[in-house]
Amino acid sequence: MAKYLAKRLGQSLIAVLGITLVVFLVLNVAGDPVQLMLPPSASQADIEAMREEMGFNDPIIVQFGRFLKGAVVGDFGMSYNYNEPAMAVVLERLPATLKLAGAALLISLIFGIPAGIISAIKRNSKTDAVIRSISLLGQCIPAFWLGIMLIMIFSVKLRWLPTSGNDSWKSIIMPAFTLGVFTAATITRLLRSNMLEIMTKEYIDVAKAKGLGGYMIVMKHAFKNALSSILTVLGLQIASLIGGAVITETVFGWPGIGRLAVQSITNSDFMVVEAIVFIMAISFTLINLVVDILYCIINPRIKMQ
Amino acid sequence: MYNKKCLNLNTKQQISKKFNKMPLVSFAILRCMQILADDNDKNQKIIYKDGGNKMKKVISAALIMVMVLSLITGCSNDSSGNSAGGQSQNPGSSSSKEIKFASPVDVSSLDPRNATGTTTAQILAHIYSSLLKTDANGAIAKDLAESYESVNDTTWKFKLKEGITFHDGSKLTSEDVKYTIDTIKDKDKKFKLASDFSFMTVNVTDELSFEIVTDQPFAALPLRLTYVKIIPKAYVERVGDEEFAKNPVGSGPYKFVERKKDEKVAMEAYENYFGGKPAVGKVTYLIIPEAAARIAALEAGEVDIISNVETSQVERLKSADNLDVIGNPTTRVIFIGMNTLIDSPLKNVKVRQALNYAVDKDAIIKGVLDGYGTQIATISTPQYEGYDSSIAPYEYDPEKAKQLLTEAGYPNGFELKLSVTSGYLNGQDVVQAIAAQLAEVGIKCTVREADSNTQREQIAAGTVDPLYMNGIGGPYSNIDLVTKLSFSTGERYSTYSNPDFDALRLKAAATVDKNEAAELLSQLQQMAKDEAPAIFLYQQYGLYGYNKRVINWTPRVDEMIVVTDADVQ
Amino acid sequence: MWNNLKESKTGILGLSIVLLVIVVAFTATIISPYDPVKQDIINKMKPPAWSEGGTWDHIFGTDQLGRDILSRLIYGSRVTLMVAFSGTILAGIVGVVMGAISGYYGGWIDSLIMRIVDIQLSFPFILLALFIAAVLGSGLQNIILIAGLSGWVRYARLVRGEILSIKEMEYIEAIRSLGGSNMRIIFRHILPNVISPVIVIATLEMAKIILMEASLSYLGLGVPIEIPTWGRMLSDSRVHLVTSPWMAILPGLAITLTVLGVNLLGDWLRDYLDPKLDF
Repeated sequence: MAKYLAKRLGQSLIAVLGITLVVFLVLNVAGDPVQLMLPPSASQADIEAMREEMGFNDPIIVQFGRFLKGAVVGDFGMSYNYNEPAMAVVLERLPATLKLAGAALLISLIFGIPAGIISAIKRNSKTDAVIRSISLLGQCIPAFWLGIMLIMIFSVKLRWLPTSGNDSWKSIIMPAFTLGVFTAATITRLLRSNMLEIMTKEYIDVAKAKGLGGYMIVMKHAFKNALSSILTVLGLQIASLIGGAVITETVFGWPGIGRLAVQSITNSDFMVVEAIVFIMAISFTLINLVVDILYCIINPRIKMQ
Repeated sequence: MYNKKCLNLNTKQQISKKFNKMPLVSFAILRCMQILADDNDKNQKIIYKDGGNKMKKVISAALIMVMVLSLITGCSNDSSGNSAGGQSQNPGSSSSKEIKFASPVDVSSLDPRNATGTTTAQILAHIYSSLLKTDANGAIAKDLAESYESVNDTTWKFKLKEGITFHDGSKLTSEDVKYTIDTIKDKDKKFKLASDFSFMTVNVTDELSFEIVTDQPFAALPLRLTYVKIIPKAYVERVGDEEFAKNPVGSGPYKFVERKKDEKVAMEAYENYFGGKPAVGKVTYLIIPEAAARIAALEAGEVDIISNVETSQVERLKSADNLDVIGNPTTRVIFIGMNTLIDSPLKNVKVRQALNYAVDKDAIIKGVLDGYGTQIATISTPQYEGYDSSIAPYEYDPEKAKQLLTEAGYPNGFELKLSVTSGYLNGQDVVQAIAAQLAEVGIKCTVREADSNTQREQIAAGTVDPLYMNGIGGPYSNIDLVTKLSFSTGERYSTYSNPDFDALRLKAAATVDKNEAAELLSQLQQMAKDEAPAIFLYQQYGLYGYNKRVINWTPRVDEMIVVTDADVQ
Repeated sequence: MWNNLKESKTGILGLSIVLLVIVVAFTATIISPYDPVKQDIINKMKPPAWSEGGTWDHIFGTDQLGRDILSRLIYGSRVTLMVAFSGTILAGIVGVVMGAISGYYGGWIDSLIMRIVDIQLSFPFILLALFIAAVLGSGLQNIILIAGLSGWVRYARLVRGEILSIKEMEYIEAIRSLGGSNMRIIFRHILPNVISPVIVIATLEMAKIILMEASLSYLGLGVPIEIPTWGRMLSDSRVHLVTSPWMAILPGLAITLTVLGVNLLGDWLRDYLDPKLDF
């Protein structure tokens, strides 16, 4: 186990390094933000001086070395837009994103798991058909469009929920729902197909023969077995949740790192972009690691490779 | 497909009546759901007999869809005449009154030495005071300064008002002014405003008097000083720059309470404000990036004032009993810049003039901007000193445009790229309308959406598309600055070069005598019009939606929302 | 295949939607009632015919520059299809080639390619697309390129796996001993075997590309302004949402329906071609 974990950690580290390298190179191609760091009245000479001072004129390898050295200790330089260390800017907004992603995950589990189970148990019933239709639609609706429609219905028309911000429990409902729909739909569909597959297996018949109630069979065997595949999917879904936060946070004005990412990319606030990428890459690898471990706990028969 | 002429009025009405309750789209979705519901399962091993009636599920699905869709489509008819609900506070003592206002972007910094952008300036205007300030119309007024005068070309004498205190109770003196300017200029601190104040020095005379000495004659000093907020030396030195930016202390009408990044800035009235305690006890700035969300927030009573209202939303807001919209011309001027540094027909002045004649500014202002724009002859606004109102804008004359193009050797027109960035009021629509008008005289434009930062760099490098939408304005603009930045040789935002024009501008800037300077500035504006280094368009409007319970608040020409004098009913 | 399709109503629905979009795209010049870029500012923001104030001159109403929304929707299908197909093909080619190289040659090439795949899979698709769009700028080719760059990994993984299992089979060994070149083995004998799972993935990925194009357009990094696309129409509608909701509802429905069609078709293809696949 320890050996496996060490290997996984090593691989994760390489992945994180790889991502940061790619982003650094891509952003370097994009140019430098010096133009934006000075007021319009600054002269071309001021800009050149600033460029020199910030080290944008150094060879790229020197710049990357400096970048890596800082990155190791979490120092990505100053955000020119916020006049604060880039890492601080990102960390400050991270809780909001985690809160949103967490709520979205909760919503997708609360809706997805029962929906998937019911759909599988009551296969080919009306309920099943409705659940399947909705979950399919959930995978087809563009998230931002859904968000916009929700704002129109619940904020503009019905005035039930606030349009944006992070003030009360009410403000998280729409963004979390928007973000969670895709994951909920994915979980529902996956759980259903997995449970159906397992329900047809022989050992379920054995369990039935022993006289357990029908629902107990489903819960104990099918669900437990389906759970491991759900977990795998969750690992990937968390990545898409945080990715989806980019859109959702923009639509709902949610003060998290997704919106910060969009803003920083359009403002060329590269230090912040790099810090976001770094944080995201680390979160993903950690989450995937946790998922792996949970996977083994739930399903001890599977050997770690 | 369908033939619109076949439908007479009667059938039209019948059909539209039929479709009124049940939009086509819900039909489509219903059908999908019905089909889906009927589908048999591929993995099916246990045969499940469905004895229930199919209609029931279809009907229930239909009901849901119709409800949702009628809600959505219903919005179009709803003008939101009903009141915003009971969220507004009862008028009472000043401490219980609150104004909330919203714009799309967060403040860049609460340390005025790093503050760039209109949004930041508007928040700082509540927390801090400056030596001088501009009123809503852009006229310079005294703020902290009791009096000021120009002693000679490079020296200005100032005297501060007595008894002014910062929010921490300490007294505001000449030393604080000196400290502010000194630290802004400090190269090691790398403040963003450094280069704007690097040429001035403060010499303290006594506690309330001081002199400002500039390296060269600088007539626009008073205007520039409106932008430097005085910070408390003792406090900043004690807590450090970083902490100061987090917990700023100023001498303005409102004390800083709390900032949640990308979310809000909360402030409360300062009891001992030297201009008198403000009428409203609490002011909160909310950041709402999405246009529809801002409108919804205003309608729901979540905020009292919003900026950046789209022209298409004006009627809706105005029709609500408790809301209104106000639009005012700002000092931001919108024009289509021409890159004359690269090889293109735009090097020919006749072509540049032709482009100006080919664009129907009036139609654009009325049609695309719904009237929220004021056509101007060049890029100088009536708010600037030396503005010459006798210079008339290019009129719309496509025939003349064609004639000029023929004279220039392009009887059949040519093709050009035209780029636009986001951030201007209806900017992308304006550009597309201009492209359509230019096509009428044979100039075919390919419209491209550019990233504003990229475009700025391309302008500086001279590699920008031949035509590009640009806007210039901001806190310390005047004729000299805008023409310098936009049309002078070698300037960062200029893609035009003309030694005669440069010489005239420099002469005007160095002229101290007001009448003489006005005459030269007038010549400069005429020359800008004749040389046509841009398609001159209009002054952009600031459009604000507000709740009528807010009184004594007016929009400003510099696009800031400042509610320090406002009250609520 | 045809008989199988006939039995699956969802498959038929999916195929019909996709075919409908294709037909609309190809006949756009004929069926579209107006020029999609023709402006008519006087008649701007007319609601759809069935709403109050709407006319049958513009069934789906007009946008903020008075352009006919139905015509724009019809022409928009062209861009959607072009981006979806080109992006999918690009991603497919890159992915299959990389996967084939990785699986067939193994060794350090395999490790390198698989590490790149890992990196890309652990990173949100949209953020990656956003980076590339910000760096390359907007444009139709760039959107296709983004689709290709961000979508290839799934194919690569799949093809690599398939090749690993196929290449040990006896007949491949036999061909090799008879002197068949590596390229010949890959293209003649291995790739034909992976074609059906690749088609399934391609269909499901295509749905993702359509959503991505719309998302990028929404964030202002999509195709050029003057080209009517559904994402662009949605993005245009943002500011007019409260007063002109049809401007957002119609293109949104167009996207949703198309993605639905492609997904249904993909589901059916998966069940028919390769029931083992699970994603």
